[in-house]
Amino acid sequence: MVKLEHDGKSLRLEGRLDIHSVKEALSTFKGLGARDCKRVDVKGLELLDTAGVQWLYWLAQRHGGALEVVHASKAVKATLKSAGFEPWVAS
Amino acid sequence: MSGHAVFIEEAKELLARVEASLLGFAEAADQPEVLNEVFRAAHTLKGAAGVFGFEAIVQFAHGAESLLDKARDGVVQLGEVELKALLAAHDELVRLVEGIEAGNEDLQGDGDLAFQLLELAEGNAPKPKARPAAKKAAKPPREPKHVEVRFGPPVMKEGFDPLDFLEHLEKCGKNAKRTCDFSAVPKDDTFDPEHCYLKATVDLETDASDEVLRSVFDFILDSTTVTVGAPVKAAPPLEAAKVLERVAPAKKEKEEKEAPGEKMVKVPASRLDALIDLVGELVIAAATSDAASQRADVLATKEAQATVTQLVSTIRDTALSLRMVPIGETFARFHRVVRDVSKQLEKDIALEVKGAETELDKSIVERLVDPLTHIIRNSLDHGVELPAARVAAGKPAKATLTLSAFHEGGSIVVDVRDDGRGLDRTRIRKKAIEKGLINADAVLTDEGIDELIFVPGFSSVDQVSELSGRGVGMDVVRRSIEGLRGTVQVISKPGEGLTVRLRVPLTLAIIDGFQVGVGGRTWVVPLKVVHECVDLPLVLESETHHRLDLRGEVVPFVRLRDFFSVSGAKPERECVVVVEDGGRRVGLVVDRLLGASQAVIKPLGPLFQNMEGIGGATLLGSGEVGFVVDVAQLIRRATNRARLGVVA
Repeated sequence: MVKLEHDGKSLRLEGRLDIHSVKEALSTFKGLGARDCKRVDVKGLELLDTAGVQWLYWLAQRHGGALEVVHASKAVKATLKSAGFEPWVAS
Repeated sequence: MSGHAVFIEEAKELLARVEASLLGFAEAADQPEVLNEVFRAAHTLKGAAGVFGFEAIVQFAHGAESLLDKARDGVVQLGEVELKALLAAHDELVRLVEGIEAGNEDLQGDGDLAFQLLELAEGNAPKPKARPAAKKAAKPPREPKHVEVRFGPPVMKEGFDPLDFLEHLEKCGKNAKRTCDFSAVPKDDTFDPEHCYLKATVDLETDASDEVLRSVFDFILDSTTVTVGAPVKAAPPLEAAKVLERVAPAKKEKEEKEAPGEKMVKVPASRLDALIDLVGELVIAAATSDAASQRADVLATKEAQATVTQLVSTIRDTALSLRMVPIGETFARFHRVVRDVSKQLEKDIALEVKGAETELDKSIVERLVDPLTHIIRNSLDHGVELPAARVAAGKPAKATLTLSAFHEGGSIVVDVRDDGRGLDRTRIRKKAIEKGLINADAVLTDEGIDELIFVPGFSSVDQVSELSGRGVGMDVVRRSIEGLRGTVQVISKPGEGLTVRLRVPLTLAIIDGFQVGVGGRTWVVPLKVVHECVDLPLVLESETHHRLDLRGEVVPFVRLRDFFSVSGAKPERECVVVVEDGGRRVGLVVDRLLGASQAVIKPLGPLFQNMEGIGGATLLGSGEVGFVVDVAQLIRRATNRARLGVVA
């Protein structure tokens, strides 16, 4: 459903980050033990819903309240914008 | 319950309301309000369907909404053509919702009908006649509104996406400005990613009422709080109180509609069924415990047991009441049947409903629909005369079909009454002789002749009609009702009309029973039909004719020992349990009386299903299985035997 990887610079998200996968995303994230996840690469992210946005917000809180979301598709950008997180999206 | 399930359930309720409103529109005293109601329902349905991506429903609801909106503006008048199109749209929406329920989400709507709705909305229909200003439902001007939404924690888990709701809300107006607040999300490990922490506000300019804006969230209002008012920032401090005043009445009105002073909780029917099953087990366990305490014969134990029994009885009644629904929802669907069938038959028939608030078990209501449909179609088709014939008979051209329901002695009585011609007894008798159901010289009472319509295969109509004669006769209706442990009775007045009376129990699950012993077995008679118990007179008035003298009244009797072929010798003295149902009284002769108890009724296995006189089984406190006597069948058997000449 959702795949998380940390390459040392950014957290990569692939698949669907939605109500069906946020629990899995949380436990995988905790398992990664990654510290610096302020930059989130969502190139492979196909779907993001409110639960996914909320998950990203939780992540953001651990990094001073903001993220840098890169390689967002149109759909992911639109969802982030509708939740008021357009500033996170790197152009 | 999943989001889909909630959608389907709510959509069905909305559509039932829409249908009832449309059917009553022509006669409605306050047409603008009815129009507003239907509009709001179409709007809510469209919004919810949009959230789930059911585009076909969105399209149809949009067409209906457009037409209704124009009608509210007074641009289009809802005449015969428009109402017909809206009813057709309702049918199409029902089909689409049922399709989703059956797992077919890709059903397409009727394109021609959708186009017709939009055409009608565009005024490609007769221009409206000038209407009095007071009757016109004036569309309010666009004004700024502030909506605050605090989504309930389970919303996302239930399959809803909060952002979709906000998006739909914004479509209700222009220049929308949204603020999402996720600040309630915990930073630490208490964060539950499936729990919804979102609060949001939307400011927009809209002509939609507060109620319409709230209706966007109808599907999640159980857990979500929505307040609608004027923008708070724009209002001076004193105005804020007015904002609250504006919000409160709408909320109050909705709550009052649902249940005065009570909050409603939606629970899946399967959970209620599981609860009733458990209560059934509790009743059996309490009966077992009661039997043990009686055997132990210790005063303190007996007293404690009496308290437990009382509590179990209260729990049983409370649990059963949870599944009670008003029969009016079922009656409402027949407005459409009567309207459509009347048109088809070129008859003028009004439907009157009485006792719509009468409540009975949901599982029984559902099983009443088919028999009622058949009885109603029969009445419309064969009972009610054509307008000319009615006038010739000195009756009003417009016939009346009355559906009524009321409580009577622990049962619900449902009457279907028409003011048509009544049963043609000469014709029924002739047909019964032709079919070999009775002997040509049989002497039958009027009631006996009327009963013949329930004999399998009987039909007095020579030509099977398209409407009611679909190979299903009144015998099937009787079987269906008896399957509910109910009875069917006809009361015919030639030239004046016919009443078909259904009498069904309030619930199927648990009853108060009266235990009797025959041979080595225990039988249970529903307590509500027990009239009295007497010793069987040693000298019967007529043993061979199975009739006894009960203080001067001749009462037919059935000896259960003979009826169920119970082996062994009968006791010296026998008892009679006099039962009464549907105005008929019969004695059941048994070996001994054992007393009252609660009985949890279990369905019979295939081997016993066709056994006459047995309505179900129950587990007794002793652990033994007891049979529940089908009193209606025994009464009919006893009274039929008392009539002469009936072969069946």
